Amino acid sequence: MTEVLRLTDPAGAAERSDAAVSVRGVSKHFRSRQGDVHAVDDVSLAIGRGEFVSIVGPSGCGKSTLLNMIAGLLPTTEGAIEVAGRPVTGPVHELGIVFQQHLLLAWRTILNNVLLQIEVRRLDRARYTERAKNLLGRVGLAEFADRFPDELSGGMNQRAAIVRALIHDPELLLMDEPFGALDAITRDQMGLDFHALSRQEGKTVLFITHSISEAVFLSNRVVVMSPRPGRIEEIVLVELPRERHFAIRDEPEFARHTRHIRRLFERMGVLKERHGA
Amino acid sequence: MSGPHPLAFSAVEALDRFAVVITLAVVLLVWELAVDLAGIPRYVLPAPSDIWASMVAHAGSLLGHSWVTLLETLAGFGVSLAIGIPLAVLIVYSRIFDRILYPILVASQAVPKVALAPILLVALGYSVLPKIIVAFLIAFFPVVVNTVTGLASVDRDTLNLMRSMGASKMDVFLKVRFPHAVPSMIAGFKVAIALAVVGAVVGEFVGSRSGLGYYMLLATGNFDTPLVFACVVCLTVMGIVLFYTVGLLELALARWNRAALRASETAGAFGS
Repeated sequence: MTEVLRLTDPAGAAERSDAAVSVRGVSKHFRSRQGDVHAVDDVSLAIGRGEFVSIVGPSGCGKSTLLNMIAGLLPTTEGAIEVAGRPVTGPVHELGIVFQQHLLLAWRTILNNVLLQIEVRRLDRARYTERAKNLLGRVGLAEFADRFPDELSGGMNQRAAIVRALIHDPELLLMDEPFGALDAITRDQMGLDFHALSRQEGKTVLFITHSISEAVFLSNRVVVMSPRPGRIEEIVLVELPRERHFAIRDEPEFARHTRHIRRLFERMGVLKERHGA
Repeated sequence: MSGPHPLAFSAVEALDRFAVVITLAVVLLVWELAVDLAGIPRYVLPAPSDIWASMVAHAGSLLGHSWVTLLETLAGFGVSLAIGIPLAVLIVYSRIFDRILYPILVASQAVPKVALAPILLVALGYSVLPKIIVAFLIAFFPVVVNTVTGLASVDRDTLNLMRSMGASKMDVFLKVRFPHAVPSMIAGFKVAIALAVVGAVVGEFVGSRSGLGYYMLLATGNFDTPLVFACVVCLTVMGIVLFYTVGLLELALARWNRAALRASETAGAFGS
């Protein structure tokens, strides 16, 4: 419990010098027709190198906004963000992003979609073609490299999108509800496979989801966010073995974590029992 | 590749095509018989056989005048592409063009371009230039609008993804926006080429010494109604051929542009 307290402490978080991502006192206001929308409120968070951190929260709690600010795609209203020790002022190029939609280009083959990342970065295409084929093989797409996205299933396309995010070997992966559009069974398999792949590749992962069990299953730490304006309610340290298997879900430890997070949401009024029950 | 080749016809499709030919043949037959039995004078409504005879008799002139109209149409269409596409790019990339020029352009569609033909005649005389300009004015709008729509309809997350990769504006244009816009652009070109024929003929009606529009007026003056119909047939054939040529361009592009392929599949082999 002391560990959890230490990590929730904004001052302590800010002082971690080895952080892959450091978020200090970040808030975000949007101006819209309905007036000022307070999306993110005073969030502080540090993610260590090689860590797998999930952010879980209800829809509209600003978790995607936070991810976009870390990627430098959206300016902060208040506070500062650093990625790999460098302050974020514009789009951060030293990372890979996967969105809920695979965003593969319909007119490019799977391999060429992966290599788009290489072309745009002006890297050596020939050299990375080998790596692309290797990675595609590891996610089970070896035979589909020359197919087009509309010939593949949603899960397969999302695997290709993950390979595209990994191809240039970035240290940090930002995942914005990457499996949210997939069916439950595909989603479980994708989660397990992605966890293994990101561990093998030694990546730091920030993973956004609205699934409590997915967050606990994948992460070292789970950041629980409140409804809008999104602030960090608690950071839960997941005390489970580093290797993850489906069987972990049957463990009492796993249930203890998901129950704890569910109760946080109940306390915030995000989850409600049926009236009279 | 899964599924049949887009050019391959199934038996049902073949019957479908055949049905069109049969229907046309029946219509022509009824027309022929009706004119014959009712004794309608040829100068009011000629029978299909009269039109065919006229086409054979005036084949040389019809081809010559068709050639003139075809060139005017293609020139007008070409200019509408040469000006319309760069202008669409400016509208998508420039706030000023988007905010000021685009609304004016849309509003300008209320101006009947056909009504400008006499003004152009006064200014430019009997040359081919006023015909090309009318064809251009009338074909230009669908080119601009469809190109703007195609270029601007790229998903915001895709643009964010490109930004995070460090893509330049040129990268985004060449690798994402332009290929994404191709199906929409070709749909606009199909409308534009059909309209360009109309523009060229209207230009010829107003004042010219050659082209199918001129030849039709000449035939009308002589009460040679079969020849007028022969001109209409030539115009129709020209319109169909041009439309299908643009459709073929779509199929050729579909080899690399899967989005275009899907668009053409949902709209039939050549769209509509």
